[in-house]
Amino acid sequence: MDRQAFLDALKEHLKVLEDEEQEDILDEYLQHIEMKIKDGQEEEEAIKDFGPVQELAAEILEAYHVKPDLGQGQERGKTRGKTRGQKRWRKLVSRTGSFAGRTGSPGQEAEGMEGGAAAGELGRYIKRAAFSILGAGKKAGRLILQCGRGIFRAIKSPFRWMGAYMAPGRTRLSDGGAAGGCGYAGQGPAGVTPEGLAGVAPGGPAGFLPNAHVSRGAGAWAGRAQARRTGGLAERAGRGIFRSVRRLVRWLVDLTLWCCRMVWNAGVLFVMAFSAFVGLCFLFCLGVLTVLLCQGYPFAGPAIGCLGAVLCCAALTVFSCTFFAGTAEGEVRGAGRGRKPEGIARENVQREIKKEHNSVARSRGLARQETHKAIEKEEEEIREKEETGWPERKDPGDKRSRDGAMIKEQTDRSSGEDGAKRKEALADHGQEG
Amino acid sequence: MNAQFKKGVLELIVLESVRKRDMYGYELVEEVSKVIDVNEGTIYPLLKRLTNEHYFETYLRESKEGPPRKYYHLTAAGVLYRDELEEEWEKLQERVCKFLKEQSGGKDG
Repeated sequence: MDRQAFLDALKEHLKVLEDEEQEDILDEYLQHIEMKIKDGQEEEEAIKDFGPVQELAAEILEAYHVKPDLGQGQERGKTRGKTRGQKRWRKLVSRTGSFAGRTGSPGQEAEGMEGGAAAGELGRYIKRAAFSILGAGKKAGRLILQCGRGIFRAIKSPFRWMGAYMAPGRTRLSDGGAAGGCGYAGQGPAGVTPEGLAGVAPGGPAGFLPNAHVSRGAGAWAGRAQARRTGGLAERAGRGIFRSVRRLVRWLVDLTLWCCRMVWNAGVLFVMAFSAFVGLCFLFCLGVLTVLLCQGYPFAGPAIGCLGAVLCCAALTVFSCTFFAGTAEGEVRGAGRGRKPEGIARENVQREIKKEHNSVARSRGLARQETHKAIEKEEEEIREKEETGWPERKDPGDKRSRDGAMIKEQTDRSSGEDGAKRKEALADHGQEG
Repeated sequence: MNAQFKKGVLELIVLESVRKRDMYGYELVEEVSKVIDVNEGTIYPLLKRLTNEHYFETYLRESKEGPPRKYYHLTAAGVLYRDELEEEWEKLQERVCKFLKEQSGGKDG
């Protein structure tokens, strides 16, 4: 057997595995054969050393926890199916042939037999025609379906952006993200095709390399971030418009109330100013009358009257101060809008909750970004190591004994501390007793 | 040598060989063949299984003699597994030797 025949035969048995895995395995064997030939061995001898192809394939499939006879079983099933169908067809043809033979006269039996063979030919021709019509029909159906899908996509594409904006909750993952999920419930090895899953033992290990695992996770991160960025724009725009309209209305109301407040305050100020002015006038009169009184003039009554007026005006001025309209202490913001304090407090609490929620979401987003950066860093390190080569491994026995000593030291320390604490506690308890 | 014995000990030999330094498939087969005579077809499936179980990592390294070679590297999990296997092997060896000695001692007696 030459190497190509060996590899073809091996590939046949490994059909249940993914193409990548098959290629990987075959490349390795090919390399091995080539190295053996370089060392001076014959090609056939090199291939013989591998043993029978079936056994080799069985061992390889066992490494993927796949039933060794699965690949063969599929083939056998196909052939069995073919022979069964063929047998039925042959039966039908022979029956029609024999029927054609029996209906005729004895002399025509021979002709009937020939007629049976012709019927068989006819039947085969009909069968071929039927299959070709079916195949053509399938192709036509696929074409129609593809055209329909294309038309549907063309119609849908202008509205796709609206759909993304209207339904921000839907997160669309990129292909990397979908692949990151491995495409099926992660029970089986990654190298096995879905058709081979029937033979997979539960809890089989994943057969991917670390690089592939990391790149799948990074793709999922990128896809989700992109979906979050693009999604919800329309909602945000709509919310923005609504907010700005609401703000405009509120501003107008505020303006109206402010104007009213200003007018009221102006009135109160006028009253204050007037009373202050009148008070000052009376104060002046009081001063003059006091001087005259001191000089001996009988102006005690008017002087007392003036004093009273001054006090009244002062009281009126102070009293009118309390009529100024504005935000007093202890009132919540927006009292001038005329809303109930409970509703305003509720709004403020909701605002606080929203702020907290946004800060939490922001911190989560930051954490995710950091994780994404860490994954990228790991990938770079692995790439660097691949280029430069993996370092020489130290004897792990030393590490184990070092770790064990460290653990023992820690436990001794902690037990020593606990023991000391227990002694102290007992001493305290003894003293109290 | 008994095939079952070889099969049982092959994993340990492969893990120990790769522990010393990273190797590619052909090199590993030669290394293992120095210890036990084994069917080359058995080694590659074993390497595949150990890689799927995350005891090995693989990477490609350019080679002057031909296409890039796939090197096998022992992971931390592989080191622990190898240590476990060695421990079990030593225990088994001890017990079997002890049993055989006792039996041979009893026979002589």
